[in-house]
Amino acid sequence: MKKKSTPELIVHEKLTLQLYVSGMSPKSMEAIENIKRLCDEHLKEAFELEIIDIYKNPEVASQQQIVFSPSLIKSLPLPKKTLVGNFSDSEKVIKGLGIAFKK
Amino acid sequence: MAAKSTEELLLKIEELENSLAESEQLIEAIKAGEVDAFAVNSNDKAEVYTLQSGDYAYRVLIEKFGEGALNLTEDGLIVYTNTYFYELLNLAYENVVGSFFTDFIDEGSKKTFTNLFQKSLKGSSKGEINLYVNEKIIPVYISLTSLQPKLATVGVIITDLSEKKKNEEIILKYQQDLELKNLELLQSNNELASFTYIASHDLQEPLRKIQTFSNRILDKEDGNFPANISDYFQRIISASERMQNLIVGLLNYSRTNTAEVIYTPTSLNSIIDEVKTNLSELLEEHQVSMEISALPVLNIVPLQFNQLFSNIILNAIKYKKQNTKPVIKITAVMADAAELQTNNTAACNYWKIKISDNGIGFEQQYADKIFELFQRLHGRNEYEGTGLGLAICRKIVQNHHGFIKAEGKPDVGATFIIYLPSL
Repeated sequence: MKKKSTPELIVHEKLTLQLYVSGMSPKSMEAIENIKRLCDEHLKEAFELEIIDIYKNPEVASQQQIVFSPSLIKSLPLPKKTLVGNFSDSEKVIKGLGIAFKK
Repeated sequence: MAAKSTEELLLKIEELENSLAESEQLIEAIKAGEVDAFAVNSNDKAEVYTLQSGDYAYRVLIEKFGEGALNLTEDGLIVYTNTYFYELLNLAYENVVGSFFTDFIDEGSKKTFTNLFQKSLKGSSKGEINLYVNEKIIPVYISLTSLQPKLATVGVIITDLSEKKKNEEIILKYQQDLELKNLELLQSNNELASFTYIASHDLQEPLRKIQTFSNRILDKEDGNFPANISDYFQRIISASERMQNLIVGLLNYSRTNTAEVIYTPTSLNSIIDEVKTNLSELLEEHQVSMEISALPVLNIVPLQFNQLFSNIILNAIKYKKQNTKPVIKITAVMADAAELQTNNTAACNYWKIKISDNGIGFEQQYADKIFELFQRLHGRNEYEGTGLGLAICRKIVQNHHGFIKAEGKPDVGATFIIYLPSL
């Protein structure tokens, strides 16, 4: 079991994240930048990020019925969370993923 | 129907709340325009839908990029062109779109293009062709990819090769100039070799005659001549001897250029030993002491180096201080990179070989002059010599891709420094 990674966040287990993007769309490119920064700054080693391009792999929709881009899905630990947008607000993203800040 | 317990209901409510929160967030995001595209599963087939904003970057990339981008139909009709391409052809957009790509291809390249295009219909292909517009040939590199089945077109990316071709032509011209110069050099060398042959026979022959007959006259009639006539003949004889020495010296000099040379790794100490043996009588006569350090093994022509060291040692003896026993020191060290200045283009180590004497030396201002052909710092009455010895030394060092320089202090001595590339 992974212990907390940064002074700021309480993370008990490694996060498994999928970021869905659509090729060269401006929001996709922003989302990638923002999520990477968020993970590097707050999650350090406690995450696994997979970036999937729905243009290159449209069949991901078959598993989820509909996949928006850009969207971030936390598949582990449960419960599963889905966030949509370009993720410019780190705090909102962290809260949306259900991670608490250490007080 | 069993009633669910309160706990179970509360859990269910929490689940629903989470689901609702997510859906709300999703709708907010869509309303705020934060979604670019989505993939939907309909009838087991995945479809991707792009909203307006999602395409923007692709458009900018293709339209603004510094390469030509086209879409061609299967018949080669241009149904899309970006700005770069029609600007490359120096035509207006409307004169390019709707034309056949082959309209802009040079006759000589049409066949190549047809092959590339056919190949691309099954996948992709790349190659060089020439475009021809307004009597101008534009060399380009094209990359074709069939966009089937998504689009019924072939995408083409075009790179302008004009700059590259221009540089290639310049290099070719330099190459041709170089080959010409080489030919001239070869011819020059051959002519020099012939000259050498002529000089050695045809010039020396009359000289020998002059000397022979002048000597005979003196032998026969010496007693009968008035003093000044004898003197005249003596002068004739010594002048012709001088001329002979000059010719031999010149021959030596030219031979260091043209002779067949074989470089072999040779110990410089062994060369010095040879020189000492050859000059043993002279060295004994002038009571010369030589201090030789350990010298390296280098890739050299032994005969030429024998001549090199001989010339310098002979000079040291010739220009010794009166009533002083000549001392000649020869040392070798690895040269410091800082010493090797602008002339050094090769990236290798150099040996620095110093030959110094305690003779009359010379003024440092003449340090370059002494290596020139026929340069002498002293009159013929003071020291004899042809003025070729050091010129030959320099030629030999140059043949071995090295440098030679001299340092002199009047009345202290002279030092010759030879830089040679190491093995």
